[in-house]
Amino acid sequence: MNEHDARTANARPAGNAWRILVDDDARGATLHARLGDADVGRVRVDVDVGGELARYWYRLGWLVLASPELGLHHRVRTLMLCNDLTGACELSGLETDARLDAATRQAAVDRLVTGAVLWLRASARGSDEGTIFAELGGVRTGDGHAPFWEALGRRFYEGEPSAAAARFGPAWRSHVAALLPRESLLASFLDESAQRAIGVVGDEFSPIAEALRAAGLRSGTFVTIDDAGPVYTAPRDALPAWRRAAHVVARAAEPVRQTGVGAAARSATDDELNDASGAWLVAVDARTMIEVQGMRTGDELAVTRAGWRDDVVGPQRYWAAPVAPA
Amino acid sequence: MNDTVRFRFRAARPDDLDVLERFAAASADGITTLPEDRDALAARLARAAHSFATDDAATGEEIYLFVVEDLATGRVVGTSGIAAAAGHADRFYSFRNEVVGHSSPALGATNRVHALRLCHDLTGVTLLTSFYIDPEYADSLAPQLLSRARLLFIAQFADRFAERIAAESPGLADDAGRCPFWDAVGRKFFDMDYPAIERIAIGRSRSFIAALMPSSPVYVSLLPEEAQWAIGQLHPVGELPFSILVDEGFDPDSYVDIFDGGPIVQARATVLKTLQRSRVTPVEVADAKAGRAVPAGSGPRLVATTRRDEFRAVVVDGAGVGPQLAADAIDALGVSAGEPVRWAALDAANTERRWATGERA
Repeated sequence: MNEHDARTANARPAGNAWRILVDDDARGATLHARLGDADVGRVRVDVDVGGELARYWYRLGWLVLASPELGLHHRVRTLMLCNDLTGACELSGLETDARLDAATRQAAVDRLVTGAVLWLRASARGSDEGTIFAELGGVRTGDGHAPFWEALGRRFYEGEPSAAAARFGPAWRSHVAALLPRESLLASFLDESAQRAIGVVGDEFSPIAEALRAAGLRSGTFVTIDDAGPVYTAPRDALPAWRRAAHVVARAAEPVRQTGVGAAARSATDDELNDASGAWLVAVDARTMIEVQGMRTGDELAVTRAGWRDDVVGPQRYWAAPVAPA
Repeated sequence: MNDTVRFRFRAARPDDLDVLERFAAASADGITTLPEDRDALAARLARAAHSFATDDAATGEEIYLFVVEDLATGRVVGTSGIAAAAGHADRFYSFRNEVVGHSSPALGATNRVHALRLCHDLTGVTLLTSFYIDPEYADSLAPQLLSRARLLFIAQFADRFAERIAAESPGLADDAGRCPFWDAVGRKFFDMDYPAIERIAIGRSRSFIAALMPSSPVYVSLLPEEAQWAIGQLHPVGELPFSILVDEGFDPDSYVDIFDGGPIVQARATVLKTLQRSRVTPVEVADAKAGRAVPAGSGPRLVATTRRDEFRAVVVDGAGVGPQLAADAIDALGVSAGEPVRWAALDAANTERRWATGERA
């Protein structure tokens, strides 16, 4: 977006308004959720993951041992070390301020996930057919040990994952993967507690799992190689936030509402926004998304420059995506 | 020392059925490939009789069954066999021991990943089978004769056998049929105990069962310690025939049984001691006095007929470097002067010792 847009988008939210601030860089972007002036959460988006250091996951599958003659039909879980999500976009480090109430945290997570998708859409980063995914922490015991790691990874790398993580950061898993079996593993060879942990999200991450589900991501195909936490994935163009994203057009208009930036909007192009009576995140420039309430067909979005309420910009297209009302 | 021919190895006959049935019943789960079923045993004897007698070119489906007799009592005290081609008309499955080295330069760590891979490597090889010796005779020369004379048979009729020879040995299992290897591997696939799968495996072909097993390798470090230890471990009852085969030069480390993890030894026929050493000469009847003149320490030798349908072998003492055979050996073999016989020195350390001390069990 050009300089003019950046200035015109410097909207002033009302005290309870949501904004997403974007710090982008060569690898992706970090999104910060703001509620009023408070920083309440963040998420990292990386495009084209695994492009430098290879990334690894276990792909889950089934093996069926069947013989009608023997009356045998036995189904066994399989785990296959893979790089399948290479080139995809990753959401990571999703966190919210623990001091907030659960509903607000949920709203923040929802806006961060939607904002991330909207950022991908608006910035045209990442490949068009790309998958979007997020890894979640898996089951751990009270002392921090993962039953899955103890049953599998530990047999191939004797070092402590926590020490490796401290030394290498998230890249430690790529280094450990070099030591792991390259062919399909049968989960039935792991002990019961490890088998039960496969693809199960750790308790502390379940609100994030909920938000990812709400955003349209699903688990069940991949798990992380250390604690077998679920990897939520979706083709990004299958996500509601992606599919329902549309352009809105700012028109010359006075602010009509005090929510959001005090804006009204009009659907720019199509029917996507026709029923859009809820809340929308609007990417008003490369670094800012604002939340607009109650856009309806025929509404117009007016984006005002701070302190220049009467200086209304005019017709300009912006990407917008719906979010659940906070 | 001329009356030393105590045991005779010979082709099994249909009238050996009773004793084979007794051997089959006496052997524990997984220890022999003899079926515990009279009709099946009779069928096997008939097949063997045909294999010994047929003039047809070998097809690979031949099986040969032998027995060893105690000439002092006339009793059959052991049996052994050969299957010309393992997994004939099908596939012969085994687990191949594989080790892959992995390293992570960043972590400064390396490991050797040991895996068992289901394979058909041994399909078509010649199998030594069905070894059973009456325990009373375990310390005698009978098991040596029973095992190694098969190699003379293979040497003599090499065009009927593969260039590679293998033999399965029973793996660890307790009296209740519990098998640590099976519990850690096969049970993960089939959810059945070992005796149950053995029954199915005998009733059906083993390859029928094996074909159901996953092709991905079994990573050994994921197995419980007891099962890891059981890989390639012998059931104690298999120690004697196993030690004979290892002494022959079989490689015991490359393959294990897919059911109980017992070792499957294998080798190219040409590296085996008895095959390598064997040669054929015409029989000369030894003069009794000349026999005594043989230098001390020349040791026992295996000597066998060169007839397929009346194959016989014995161990003779101190026959030295010449082709002479004493009268009792000639009788036992049923050969006459001038007939070609196949010889090989028998020098396993334990047999030398027994011979030297006159131990005869």
